Amino acid sequence: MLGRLVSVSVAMGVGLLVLADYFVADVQLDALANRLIYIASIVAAFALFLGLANLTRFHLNRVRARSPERPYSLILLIALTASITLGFVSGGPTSQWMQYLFENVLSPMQAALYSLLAFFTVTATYRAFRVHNVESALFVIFAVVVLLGQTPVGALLWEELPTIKDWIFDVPVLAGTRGILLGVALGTLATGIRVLLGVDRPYVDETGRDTHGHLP
Amino acid sequence: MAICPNCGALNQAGSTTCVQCGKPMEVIPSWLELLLARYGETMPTFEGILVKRAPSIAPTEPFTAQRASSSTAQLSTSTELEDEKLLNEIEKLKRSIKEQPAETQQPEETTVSAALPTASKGVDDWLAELRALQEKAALDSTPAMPSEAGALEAAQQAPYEVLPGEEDSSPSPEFLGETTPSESPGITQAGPPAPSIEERLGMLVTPPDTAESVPENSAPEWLRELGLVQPEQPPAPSSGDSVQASETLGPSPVAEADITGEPSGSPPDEEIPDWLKRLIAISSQIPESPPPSEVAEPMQALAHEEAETPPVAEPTPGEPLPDWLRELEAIQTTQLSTTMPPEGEEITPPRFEERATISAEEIFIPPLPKVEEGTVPTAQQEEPSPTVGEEHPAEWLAELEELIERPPTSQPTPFPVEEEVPDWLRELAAEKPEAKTEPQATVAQETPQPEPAELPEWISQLRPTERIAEMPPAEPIATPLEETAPTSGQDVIETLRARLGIPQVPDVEGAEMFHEIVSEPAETTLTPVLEEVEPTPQRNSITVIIWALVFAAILLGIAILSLALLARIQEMLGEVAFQHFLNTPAAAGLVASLEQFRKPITAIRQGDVVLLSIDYTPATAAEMQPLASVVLHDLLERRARVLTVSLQPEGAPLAQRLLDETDRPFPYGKHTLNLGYLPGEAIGVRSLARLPDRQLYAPIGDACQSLGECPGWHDIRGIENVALFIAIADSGDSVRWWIEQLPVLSPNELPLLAAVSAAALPTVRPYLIPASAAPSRLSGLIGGMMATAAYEVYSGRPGRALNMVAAQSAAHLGLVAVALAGIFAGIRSRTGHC
Repeated sequence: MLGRLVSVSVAMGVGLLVLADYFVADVQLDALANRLIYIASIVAAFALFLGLANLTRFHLNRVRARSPERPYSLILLIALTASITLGFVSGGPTSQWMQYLFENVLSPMQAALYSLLAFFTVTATYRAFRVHNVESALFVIFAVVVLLGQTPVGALLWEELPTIKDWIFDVPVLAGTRGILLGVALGTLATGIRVLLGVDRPYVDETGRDTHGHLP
Repeated sequence: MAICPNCGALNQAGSTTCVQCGKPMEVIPSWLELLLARYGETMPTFEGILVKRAPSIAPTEPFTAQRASSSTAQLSTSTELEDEKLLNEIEKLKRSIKEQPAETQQPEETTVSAALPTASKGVDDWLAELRALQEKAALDSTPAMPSEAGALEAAQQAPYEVLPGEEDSSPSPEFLGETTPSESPGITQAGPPAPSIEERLGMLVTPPDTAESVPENSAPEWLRELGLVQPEQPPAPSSGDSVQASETLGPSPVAEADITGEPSGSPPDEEIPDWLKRLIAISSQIPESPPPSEVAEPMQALAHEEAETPPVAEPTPGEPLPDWLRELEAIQTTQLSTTMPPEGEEITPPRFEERATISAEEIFIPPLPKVEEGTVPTAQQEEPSPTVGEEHPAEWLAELEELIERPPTSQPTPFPVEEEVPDWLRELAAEKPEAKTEPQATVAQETPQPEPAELPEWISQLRPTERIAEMPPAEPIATPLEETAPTSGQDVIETLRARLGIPQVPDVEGAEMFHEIVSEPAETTLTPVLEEVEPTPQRNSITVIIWALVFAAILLGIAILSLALLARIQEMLGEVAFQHFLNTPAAAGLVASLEQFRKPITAIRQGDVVLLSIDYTPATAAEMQPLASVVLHDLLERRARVLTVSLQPEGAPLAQRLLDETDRPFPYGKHTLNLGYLPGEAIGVRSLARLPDRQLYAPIGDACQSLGECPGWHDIRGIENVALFIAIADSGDSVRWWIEQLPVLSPNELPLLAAVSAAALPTVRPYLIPASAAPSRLSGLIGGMMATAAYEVYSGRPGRALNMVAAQSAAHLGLVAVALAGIFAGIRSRTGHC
């Protein structure tokens, strides 16, 4: 109870202070808010360590449980240990070995994984672009126009295609996106007020569960 | 069978509540019924009968009336029983005489005499009148009545005479208790707690003054109906002091003097009631028949000694009582204790009919086993029970009740030892099945049901009506729900619903669903499933493999064809086609956005600091790296100093890769610095407020670990020294963080440019507002491969973007072809032409 009261008080006080710095032009208040934000950035950096610890524990448990995914967990744990060891031994993330690992292991793998999206897009196009009603017909038409208007080929096929594509981006897509962003902004505002007033306390685990949803 | 004490309805044996009125009832002992059946009597429906009372000596008027209608054979047995009752009375008289020594009589006389006025005041007038009337009736009717009738009459009077004595030991009516609250303690203090025989006998004598004060006409009608009052007879003569003394002292001295025959000190014979004399005479005659040697029972022994031998000395208080006297006292005490209700039990005031019923119940206790064989002229003389005389009186009574109260069986229960069973018990056992087999309804019809006597109005007025009114009405005891234990969950639900008062709503929807499920034909659902399930897995796997191979072959053929046609495609859709496209009006929008983006960049002066945020990952590096590279080169070519940061962990090495590409013309540390990763997303942007303290991602020796330490960068003291912010991001969130947090960092409204991927362009585009409409932090926005290629063309540094435009164009054409194929396949599938 006392811990919860302290956490709520700290959250409300810091939040209101930083929010006041957004509207009030005061040097001392600005310095205090920047100091608090700097502390928060350090705390956020520790979140990476927490993520690293959580990832390690999860895959260690999977290896101990002899689950079918145990080989993949073993590979991950080995790669993790090797990278950390290599980073500490070689002299940090800018060392030659670490650059080598990043350029020849991490980047190609992520790029290859992302490139599979092209094949997913092809299959999705084949399955989704079926004209069943007016809405699906409009969807197909808009998709074809944007695909062709994004490339010079569209202009070669029909000079008005890039213009139509720009109109689609500037009017319907922009209107829809702005509507979404306005909704998100209002939701964020309401959530921020609730957090500042202590109605919502996402920083307090009131369910008594740990981060994995397990009961203590 | 059990009779309800409230309504008189017949209930089954063992019933706790009456089926008629619902009130709690007690069960009449079966042995009483059997005794009634033995004497040919049926169980009358007494209202308010008290059950399981200890046997007493008073018969009831209803029973007397029933006895008159019994058969001749039964009359003999009844006469014997009445004689036995008479003997019991005599025995009690003698016992009381023996128990009270002559020395102790005088103090008691004084005590009781002193307490007499108080006691007489404590009794209600109507009760005193009643007592006087009873005395008169007893004295007047005793000589004229035969012996049996006289005994019965004396026994009839017993309950009313015992009433005051029982007030100490038995529950008294509440309305009587209320009228005499102050007098009762006086009586209790003067006499012993439990009524003794002397008191009872003393109550037989009514004070003449009280009797004289009560007029004959004042006797209620119900008393005359009971035969207790004979108005035609004149009142009994009485003398004031002697009669009063006899009343206060009780009959003990009188009886003692008569029995012992002492001439001196004994009251005169005329003071002794005739009926009492007759009783004494009968008692003196009875013991003459058996020889003195065979006397084993104390009662007969006492009678024999008193009749034949001179009076023995009275036992002193210090002397121990004989065994037989203790046994009799024990029996009497037990009987009295059984009449006492348990403590804490609420006592309902019994009515007058209940008193009569008590006597009817008590009169049927057979005293036969107490009598030694041959001493009583009954059937036991022919076949005496050898064990009766040896057993303890309480034991034989307990055994008798046990035998009679044994649950009835289909056949009569055989006695264990036939020789030890007296005849009357044998007869009782033989008559028991017959009595049980008689339908009760028939008996009730044949036997006239005694109607409850109505209380006179003057008696009813004595009742505390206000208390009765305050008493809650006797509601019929509802059967508890717990008695009927629920047998299923539905019963539990129904029980709870009944208790909570929830109405039962029919589940129409559930019933309809059930009907729908039941009405479905089962054949139509099972047959197709069985046909499809078995061959499906193998066929599907083979089909998938075949189609996968076919698709792979198609892709491989397309790739080979593309390689073959690469040069031709590059020529058609590459740099030449794009430059041709840029010269068309269709590229006006692209060119306008590019010029807007480059406008702040072209305004940068030499040495200005530009903060470049690399917010993309290796997954999107293929698209973002050319864009970041062309922007960086454009900045460096304008002699700007570039600081790179990243809001994503993978952004720092990607930024370092960019800086390394430009390291040759623009050395790292002099023109560029990498500040690394800014954790915390939006907070990371705010952390740039402490820009000089930021550690470098790639330090330059020991002398340049942070921005403020590096030579050539000392002029940067904060974010306000940055001339331009450029966000190169593959998602709209990173740009949004910059847009939201940058105004707090730099209130000077420094321009922000955003170069994003084609996928993030729609999400960032809403933030790009023309300056004429509203002030906006985002000054320029470009995105996609077309914009990058256009930037390369306009910057004069053709690069990878122009080559990638051809590939992207080919990919888009392929997607359009696939979409068209899908549309065609959909149409074919709907028309059924597969």
